[in-house]
Amino acid sequence: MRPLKFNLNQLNLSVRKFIYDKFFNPNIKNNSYLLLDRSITALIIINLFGMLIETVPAIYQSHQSSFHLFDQISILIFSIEYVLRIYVIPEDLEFSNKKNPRIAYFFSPFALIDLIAILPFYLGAFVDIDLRILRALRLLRLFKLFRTVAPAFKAFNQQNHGATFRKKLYLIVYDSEKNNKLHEIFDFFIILWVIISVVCVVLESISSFAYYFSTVFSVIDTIAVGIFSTEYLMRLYSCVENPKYQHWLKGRLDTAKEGANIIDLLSILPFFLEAFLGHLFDLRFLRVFRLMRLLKLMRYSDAAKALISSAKKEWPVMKASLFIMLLLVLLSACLGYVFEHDAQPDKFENIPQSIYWAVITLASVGYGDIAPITPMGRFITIILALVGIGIFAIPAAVLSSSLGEQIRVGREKVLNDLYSMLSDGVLSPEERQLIDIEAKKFKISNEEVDQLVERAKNERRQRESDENRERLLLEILNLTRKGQLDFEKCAQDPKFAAEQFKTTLNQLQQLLKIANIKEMQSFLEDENNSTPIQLKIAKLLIDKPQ
Amino acid sequence: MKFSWGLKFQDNIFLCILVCNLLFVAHLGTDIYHEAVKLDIAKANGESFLTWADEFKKNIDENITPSPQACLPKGISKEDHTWKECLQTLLGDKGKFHNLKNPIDESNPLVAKICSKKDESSKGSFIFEKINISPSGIPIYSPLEDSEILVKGLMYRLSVCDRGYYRILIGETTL
Repeated sequence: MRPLKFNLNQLNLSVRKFIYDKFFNPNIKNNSYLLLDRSITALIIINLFGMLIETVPAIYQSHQSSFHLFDQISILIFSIEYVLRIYVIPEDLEFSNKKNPRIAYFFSPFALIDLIAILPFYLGAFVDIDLRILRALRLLRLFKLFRTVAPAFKAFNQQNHGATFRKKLYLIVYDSEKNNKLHEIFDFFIILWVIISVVCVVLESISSFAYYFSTVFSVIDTIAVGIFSTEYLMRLYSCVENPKYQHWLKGRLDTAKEGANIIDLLSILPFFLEAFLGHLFDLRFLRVFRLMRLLKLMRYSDAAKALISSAKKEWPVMKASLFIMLLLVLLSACLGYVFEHDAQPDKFENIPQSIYWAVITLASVGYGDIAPITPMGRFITIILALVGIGIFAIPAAVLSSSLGEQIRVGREKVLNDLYSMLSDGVLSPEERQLIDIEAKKFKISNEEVDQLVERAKNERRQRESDENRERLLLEILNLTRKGQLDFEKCAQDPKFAAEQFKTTLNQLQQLLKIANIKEMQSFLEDENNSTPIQLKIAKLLIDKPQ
Repeated sequence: MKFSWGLKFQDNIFLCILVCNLLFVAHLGTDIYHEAVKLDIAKANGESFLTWADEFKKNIDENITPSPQACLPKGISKEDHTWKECLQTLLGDKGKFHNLKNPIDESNPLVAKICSKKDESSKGSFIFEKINISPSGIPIYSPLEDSEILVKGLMYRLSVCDRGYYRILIGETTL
């Protein structure tokens, strides 16, 4: 038995490599790099909110220990991350060629950012620093977010080297087909702030939250308006890069008139209106319109875009259906008023009130607060309820079928793109990336994309084989027409030989169709005229002509 | 590869507009923040008043005669006291809350009858309301009048009138 050698250095290297590949190597697919990156980002954002909530004395005083514990846990995680990064940095190609990779990394901007995120905490443990300064220094943790943004910025710069500032802005703000990480970060940032601000608006409606967090809410709202107004200005400024909106003024006005941009404007307008006109009118009701920020998410939802496009496509049918619905509602309301007004003047007081009853009945909601009591009123209700099911179902059915059709067309487009990309027989990583982006739009999962790729490859193989076969057949046909049989090629190419055999057989079958079978058979049955194998083949072909 | 912003004249103008917008939003936000802080001070003042009121009631319940005498209810005190007397004593020069001021606008009174846009001086003021329970159990709120004689069990609630003339409830208490 060989003696077991325990090499500590080798173990250290393999552990270091394992940790680097598992958590810190961005070039390895399916490792935990993205998970760690996102978790750290989430922790930084939670830290920021923790700091904001801490400013509410009532909450901080009652949960002081929890805040302290959370801070310690955050620092522990950030410290572990920092130490691990220093430990594995010799594996990083950027630093591995340095004389001392760890020292080189220690003085790099990222490492310094990581250090200043944790340093105030340790300083506070040893040096007597004012608690408020220490708290403010925790904001430095936000700089850690640059770790995510910087590589994306670098890649963006490489991709768009030489582009104008406005073009770059356009590529960051608007959706582009290119694989643009910076655009993804921008979208994520806006989505995050939409969610934060909407959650704040919802929480603000709870009196206890509004009571304790009014200051925090006002700060968050100001930051949100700052971000959304910047986004709006960036969109308006860079939109002229779109060939559709090239004119410097008309292009921008047309962009501003787009639904998504109107929503963007309405989401920031209440803040400015309240600030300007708040002393003249009570505009607090406008605050609820901040919920419109939720509609901003539609810009980022392909499903919502598909639904809107389906509704636009089917608008003539929907319009007709809505028109019938409107007619029915008005007619029923009038009849309801005529038959029920005398019996229930308080409930069917006028036609508008009857419209409410008609809509509630037609939509099969049936609150029951207004119900007919006369026989004719009840009869109308029966008709209304029965017709309502069909009428209200039409728009839903039209929309759903249109949506299904759109998804089917989308899938076919992905498949066609795949066919054209596979025309050279290879699907390059860049082509696969484009297909993945396209598939994402049409909600096609990765597994389905794999299946489509396989299907496209198989179909391509089949098509190639069919084409080869046709070419061979043509060749054989030409030779047969000339009365030649290329034995040399048959000996070299088994496929050619097989095709030649099939062609010969086919000729034999055609021969049997035109010949007098009975006489031919009796002629062949004579031993002097054919060999046993020739007779056997002839019989087989006569018995099974196809 | 060296990064270049490639800034043109119009890009610089756009950046200026962007910065101006951010500064403007920050300016408005600072104003809103200061208003919110002032409101927080008003709420804290209201809370301190309610804390005192609860302590006052507790002392009465434990037969410890609390001060000021002007706030003692009928029966505990030999003479009847009105709400106005009590408030004047508390907010007066030697009162417990003599240093309280209207945080939103110091020129406005600390206490107002109602929170309404019609009375602009009510901004930032305390609003005291008497609570009467109707026979059906629904509370009915009415302004606590100056002439209201203080009696044991008098229920009232305290709110703060914010800058938009919305009443923000601080709490309820009983004498």
